[in-house]
Amino acid sequence: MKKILKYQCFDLVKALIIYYLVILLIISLAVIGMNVAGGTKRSGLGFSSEFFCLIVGLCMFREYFYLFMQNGVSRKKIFAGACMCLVIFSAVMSAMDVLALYILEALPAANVSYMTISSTLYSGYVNNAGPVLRLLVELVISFLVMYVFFVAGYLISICFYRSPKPGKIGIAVGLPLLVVGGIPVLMVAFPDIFARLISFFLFIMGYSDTSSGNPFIGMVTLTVFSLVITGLSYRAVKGTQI
Amino acid sequence: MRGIEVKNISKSFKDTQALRNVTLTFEAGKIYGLLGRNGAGKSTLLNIISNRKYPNEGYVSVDGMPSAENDEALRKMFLINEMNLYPESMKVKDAFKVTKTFYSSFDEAYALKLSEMFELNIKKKIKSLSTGYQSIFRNILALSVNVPYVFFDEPVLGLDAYHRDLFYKLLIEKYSEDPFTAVISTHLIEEVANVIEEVIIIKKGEILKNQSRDSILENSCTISGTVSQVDSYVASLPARAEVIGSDVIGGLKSVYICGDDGARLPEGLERSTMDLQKLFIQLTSM
Repeated sequence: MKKILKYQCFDLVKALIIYYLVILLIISLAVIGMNVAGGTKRSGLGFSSEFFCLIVGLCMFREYFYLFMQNGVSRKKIFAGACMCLVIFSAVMSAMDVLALYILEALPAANVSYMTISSTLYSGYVNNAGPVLRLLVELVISFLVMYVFFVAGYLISICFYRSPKPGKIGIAVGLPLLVVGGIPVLMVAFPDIFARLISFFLFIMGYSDTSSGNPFIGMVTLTVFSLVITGLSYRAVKGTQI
Repeated sequence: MRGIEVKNISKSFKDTQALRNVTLTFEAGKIYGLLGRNGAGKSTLLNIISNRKYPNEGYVSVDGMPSAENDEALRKMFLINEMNLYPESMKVKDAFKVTKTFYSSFDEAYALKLSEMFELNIKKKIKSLSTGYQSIFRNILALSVNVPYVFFDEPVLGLDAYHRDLFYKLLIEKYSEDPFTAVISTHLIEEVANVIEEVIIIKKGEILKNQSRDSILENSCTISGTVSQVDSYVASLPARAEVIGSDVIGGLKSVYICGDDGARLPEGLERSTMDLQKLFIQLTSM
């Protein structure tokens, strides 16, 4: 198990370093730009971390599965190693994002803020909470969101691998089309249904536009999401053949 | 029990029955030839043994342990086939290091020595290797891994005559130094005939023969003569003898027999030994 985890972590850490170097570069350029041109920028860079997690999750299944199967590792060990790796990366990335949030908050002269999911959804709550509680909420929510994105990407890539050709085309073409074109069109076509869906999603995330919201409800929801997607991924990996 | 036991394995893919109730044993410290025509089920069998595919029925045990999803059993086996499961962007030397990480018995120094012998550039990426050198790369891994059970599925695919010869020599050398179970699945029967001790012939997912090479060849022969003489000889054969094929050219006939007791032949008939390839062709052509 240690070997699988070590191999994956060492392999993925390069991508992580490149990602945060790019983020650092963008923040630096934004800080310089805002100070030269004037004004304040609320940066949504924190959300890019979730997309990074999704993409890493999408990319990490096939290559590692093949390599470990060649080297006599069982599927359950492969899955456990992947999960532990995702947990470690979620923890590291949530710490990095919260650190970026705090650093930019501590430097008002920078005129750039780094928004995360929790600082956006639960702004009322985190602004009124004590420093320790706020830090915990920021870290836990970030961690859970990142893990959900990681493991969702992982599940999609297993489904892609296991699907026959039409299914692969369906996932490769259908999923991006749904996100980019389908959902916006459906939102226009069925505004009431989507409004209800969004309200429901915000409700289960503990968001409220009338009060400061409850991040603990969000934590429970994200934990349930994590467990469900992890369970589905386990079933999918167990049934995967070469 | 030492060895690999395959018990009542069946596997189907949609409407194709790849394996039908296959039962056999790979004993420890022997070299097996797994022979069969294209699509006979050789690769499927090896993939099931090494846990890459699941059977629909049956089970496989390695040294008494079930092999499915069992890390301890899986660490005793190594399968190479035409599929490269290492990341394509990985360099050969890095693949050796990675294999060493998972198989502590992997002899990296020996792998480097073999790379020199085969003139394999270890600084190259695996994907940039030619078909022949990809086979060489996998063969080097398999020869250096030092586990009790090694499966070579088409190990000489794309190899030139010199490299094929070198591979067989190294395999025998390795085996004589420290015997292990090697299962070689190949179409080049003539070449492998002198290397293997045990022969398993598989046809349409069923095991036709599972015997030592010497006994299978000792009990097989070709009887040639005129058509009438050969036919009357065949009619007099004991029940355990099996005619597996025949050729007629003009008035002369040859029959291929398994289980012949080597009795004295009537005048005008001739008995000759059958090589493994001929036996294979006759057994699998029907």
